[in-house]
Amino acid sequence: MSRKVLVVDDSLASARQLTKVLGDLGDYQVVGHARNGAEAVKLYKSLSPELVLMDIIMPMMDGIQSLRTLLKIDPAARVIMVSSVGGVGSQAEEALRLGARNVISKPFDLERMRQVLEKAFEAK
Amino acid sequence: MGIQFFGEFLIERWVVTRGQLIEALELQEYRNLKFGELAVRRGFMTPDQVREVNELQRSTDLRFGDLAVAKGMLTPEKAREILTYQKNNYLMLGEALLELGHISEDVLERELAIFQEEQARYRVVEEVAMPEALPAAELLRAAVDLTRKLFLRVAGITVKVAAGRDADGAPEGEFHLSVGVRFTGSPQVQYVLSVSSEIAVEVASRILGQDATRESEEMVEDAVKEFTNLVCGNTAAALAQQGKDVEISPPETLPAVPAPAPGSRLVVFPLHVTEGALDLRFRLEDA
Repeated sequence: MSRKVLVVDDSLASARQLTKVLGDLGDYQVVGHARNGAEAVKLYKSLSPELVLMDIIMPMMDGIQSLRTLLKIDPAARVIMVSSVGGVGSQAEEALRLGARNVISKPFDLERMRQVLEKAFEAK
Repeated sequence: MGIQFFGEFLIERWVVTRGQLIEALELQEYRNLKFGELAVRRGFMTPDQVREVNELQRSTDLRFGDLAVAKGMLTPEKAREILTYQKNNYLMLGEALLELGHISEDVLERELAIFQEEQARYRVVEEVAMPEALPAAELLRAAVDLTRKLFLRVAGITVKVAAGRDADGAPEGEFHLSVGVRFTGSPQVQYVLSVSSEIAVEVASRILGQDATRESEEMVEDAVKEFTNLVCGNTAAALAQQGKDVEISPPETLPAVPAPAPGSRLVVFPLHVTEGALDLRFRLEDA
C-alpha cells in the first residue's frame, strides 16, 4: 500500500515535480499540497499523512516555523525538509535540531531520494 | 543534491544520525573560535571593538580580520597570527565525528571521496571572462557558471557563455519572461534571467517531468522561477563554502529585461543556445 505524503511548497512547479518524483519511486502517494505553513497545519490535521515533505523557504509561515507548529500538534510527525538553497547549513541544522528526520537538497537524485524516504520510516 | 556541506551529505546518506551530526557541529562550534574571540583572548582587541566590527560586517563583504585592520584596530601582523592559528587548529567536521566515535576512519575516507566526486560537478570554474574592476566578482562568477551547469543538468540545454561586459542597451532576441533574484551584501546584486518562450517551456517540461506545452502560463512561469531559485540557492551555497554569507530573496517576475539606469551597474553575460534566446544580466546597486 502506498504511503500518504503531504507536500508543502509555495511553488506550484516544485510541488508538481515532487509529486512526479514520488510517483516514479512508487510506494508513495501525494495526498495533499499546501502552499504555506498555515495551510500545511490544516491539511496535516485533515489528511493525517505518514510523511511531510516541506520546503524550507516559504512566504508567510516559513518551513522552520511550520515544522515547529506541526511537531507541536504531533511530536511523532515524520517531516523531511526540502532545500533548494543547498548548503545553507544553519537552517538545515535548526530543522534537524527541531526534529526533522532529514534534509534533502535539490536538484533531486532519484536513488538518493528513495534511500532518504525509506530510512525515514525506519529511523526513530 | 546540488552544492552541499559535508554534514548534509552524510545525513542525507544516513551515514550518521541527526543527533550525531548535531553533537559534532556543537563540538566544532566549541573548538573553532571565531576571529574576534581569539583577538580578545590574546588582548589584541577589546570586546567593544569586536562588537563594532561585527556590526560593520553587516554592510560589507570584508572579512572580520581585514575590516579590523582597515579600521586600525589591529596590525596586519597580528591579524595574520590569528588567521594562522585558526587555520592550524581548525577542527573539521569529519575529525569531530571521528573524535566522538560516530564514524570510523575507513567510512570517513570513503564518504569524503564520494562527496568530493559529487561536488566536483558543481565546482566553479574560472573560465568565464569578467569585466574589469567588478565588485562581487566571485558571486557573479559562481552564478554564471552554475547557470550554465544547471541548464544542462536540470533542463538538458547546452549553453555557451560569452565574456561578460557592461550592458549598453536592451538584449537582442525575443524574451517571454524575466525573473530576478536579489542577493544581500555589498553591493546588492540582482540576478536576472530572461528566457524566450521555447526555453521557458523546455525548462518547465524538464522540471515537471512531462511536456509543458499545454501547461498554464502560471505553471510555466513558476517552473522558470524555481529554476532561477535553484541557480541562486546553489550560488549562495558556493559562496558559503568560501566563508561568505549571502541571503537570497524569493524569485520575482520582472516587467521587462532591465536596461542600463543611473545608480547601478548592469553587467551582461551573453548566453548562446541552439534554439530560443537567453539573457543573463546582473544589476549591481550603487556600484
